[in-house]
Amino acid sequence: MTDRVVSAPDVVTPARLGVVAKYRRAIMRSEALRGYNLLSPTLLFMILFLALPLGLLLVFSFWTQNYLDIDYSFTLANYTKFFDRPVFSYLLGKSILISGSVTIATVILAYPMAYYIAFRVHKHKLVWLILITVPFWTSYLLRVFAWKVILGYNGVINSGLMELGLISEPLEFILYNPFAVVITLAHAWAAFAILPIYVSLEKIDRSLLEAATDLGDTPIMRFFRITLPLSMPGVIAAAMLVFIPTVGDFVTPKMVGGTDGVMIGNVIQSMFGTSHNWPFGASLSIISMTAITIMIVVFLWINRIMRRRA
Amino acid sequence: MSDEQFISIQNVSKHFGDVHAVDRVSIDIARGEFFSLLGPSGCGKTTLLRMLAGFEFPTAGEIFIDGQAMSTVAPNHRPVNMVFQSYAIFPHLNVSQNIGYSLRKDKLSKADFNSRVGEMLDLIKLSGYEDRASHELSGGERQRVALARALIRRPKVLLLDEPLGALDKQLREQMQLELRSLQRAVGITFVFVTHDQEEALTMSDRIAVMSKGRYLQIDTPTKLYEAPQNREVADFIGTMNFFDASVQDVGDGQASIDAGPLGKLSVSPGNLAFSSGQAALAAIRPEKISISSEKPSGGHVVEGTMDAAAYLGDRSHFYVRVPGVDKPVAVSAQNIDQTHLHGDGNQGQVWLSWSNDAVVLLNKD
Repeated sequence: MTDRVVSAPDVVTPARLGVVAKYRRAIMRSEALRGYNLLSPTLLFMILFLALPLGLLLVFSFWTQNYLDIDYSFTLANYTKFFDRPVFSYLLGKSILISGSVTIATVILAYPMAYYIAFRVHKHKLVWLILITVPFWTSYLLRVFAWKVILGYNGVINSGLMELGLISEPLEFILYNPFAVVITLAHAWAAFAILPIYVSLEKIDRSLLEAATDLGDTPIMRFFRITLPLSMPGVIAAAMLVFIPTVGDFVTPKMVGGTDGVMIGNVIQSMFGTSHNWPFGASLSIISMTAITIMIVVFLWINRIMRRRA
Repeated sequence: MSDEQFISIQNVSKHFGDVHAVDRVSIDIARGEFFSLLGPSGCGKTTLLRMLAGFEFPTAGEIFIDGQAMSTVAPNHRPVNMVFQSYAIFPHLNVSQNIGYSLRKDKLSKADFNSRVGEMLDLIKLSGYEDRASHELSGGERQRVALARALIRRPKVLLLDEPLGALDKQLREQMQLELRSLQRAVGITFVFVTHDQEEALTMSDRIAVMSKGRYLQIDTPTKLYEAPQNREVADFIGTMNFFDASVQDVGDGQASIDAGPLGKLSVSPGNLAFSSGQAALAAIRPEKISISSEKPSGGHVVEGTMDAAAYLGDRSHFYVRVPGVDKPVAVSAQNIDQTHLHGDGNQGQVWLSWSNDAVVLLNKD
């Protein structure tokens, strides 16, 4: 032992540090740098595949399509086009309305399921949670297609009702309309709503519920005064997780929406596809994102006011 | 129904599967009493309290509160309120919303609501805290808010589930006194669950010492400490020295016993029954034994050697080996002039002495 101490090299002075050692020392000294270091693979991935494409999209939206070429001069033409032709803002408004309905339907359907698992299931909770994700084991397209089979002209509902003699002709209003889009999307996104609501319900201290009962609340009063307010973070997360991706969805409206069920996502998809107008598609995307952001800010703001009043 | 049976727990059992958490317990609690359920964890005290609150229903037996049978009364309709171990302060509500939580159904005007809450805030000395959020409160403040919230509708009974457990020692001792004086001020019957014997002794009118779903003894703190009815109670409350003894003669409130190394003693058997020739236990509290380095004259005296000593500031604990006794005898002495016992003479000879009425005679398990 003593031998090694004696033969140890001289203390390294900062001037003699190599690049690696300098980097190490900087890492040791700065907590922020350590944080970025830890994030670096993800950060790099996000910059390459999220920030960069978004920037490109923004740049594209200020260019214009000139038949086969792209005119690279800066212009607001795409944006003025959006506001000049009412069909686009109508489609965006309808998309937000459909997504809003999907969000409300999904949260209302998901809440009792999450509540059941959080409060009534005591054993094998994990099994229940896995069962909830079972619909996700098949492809999204297949699930949408399944709804087409259920709601279609010769579909399960129509043939069932006809078999029972309740109707003589197939009902045509149940497929190819916004209603079909809402049902299909609500089913497709249910798990995304159940899980965050479940987590927030699971976190509620059970003695709070007992305290509310002890202080005279009936089960219903207790739900509205304690359980629901304390699970709001989960409800908000669920609402966002459903609302944000469904506004831009184009597969479901295309397959079950018919002409009335067309959403902004279908237009954007066609701009980047058959219509071959990438700059206008880009500006439609930017406008949609901005609209969604505004919606969410308003939503959070209303929620904050409600909570302060409670 | 009499005031003596304000709460009447009659032959109540609670089984969780094969576990008999509470096993055929009958207890009467008087109106306005501060009653404690004391015992180690798992002894059934919390289950009993939760049955009073209505969160658990008895497997067998009946609970009466103010003459009313509780077996069909839901917790939200019972004339009791509870202070929870974790306080259960609603995190999304501020102090006055928490305290006034149970007033919602009274549909009070804002002014009436505020004055009711204000009264409670005065009572718990937290005036001016109305708008504080729950996370801005310290442990002691949360405890008081929980107390005020449970008392605002003046329940017939207040249940407290180890409410002082989370507080530090100094605050706990202060809250013990405050809780006691608060109980006297409001005159509400308190049922208090604790595993801390000192806490129970400090605050209670009467204590039920519980073990394994049953109670061992129900008595005033003084009686429990001075005249325990069995070894388990004597052992659980405070420290006790036990000596094997045999009963020689019983008669007229006195029993003659032969306590082996301690010699022959004449003691009071209390309300326990003994017969001649029976094996028994003689028990003496550490502070009822006098210790000195010189042989005292008169009284019961035994000689021993000092085994260990612990200095606690106001008093000292000594452990003395007495020939013929297995465990060292524990002695507690106030540090008035005993300091010389800590000198070099530690390992030396000491004399222990006690009076006859310091000895408690117990059945040998």
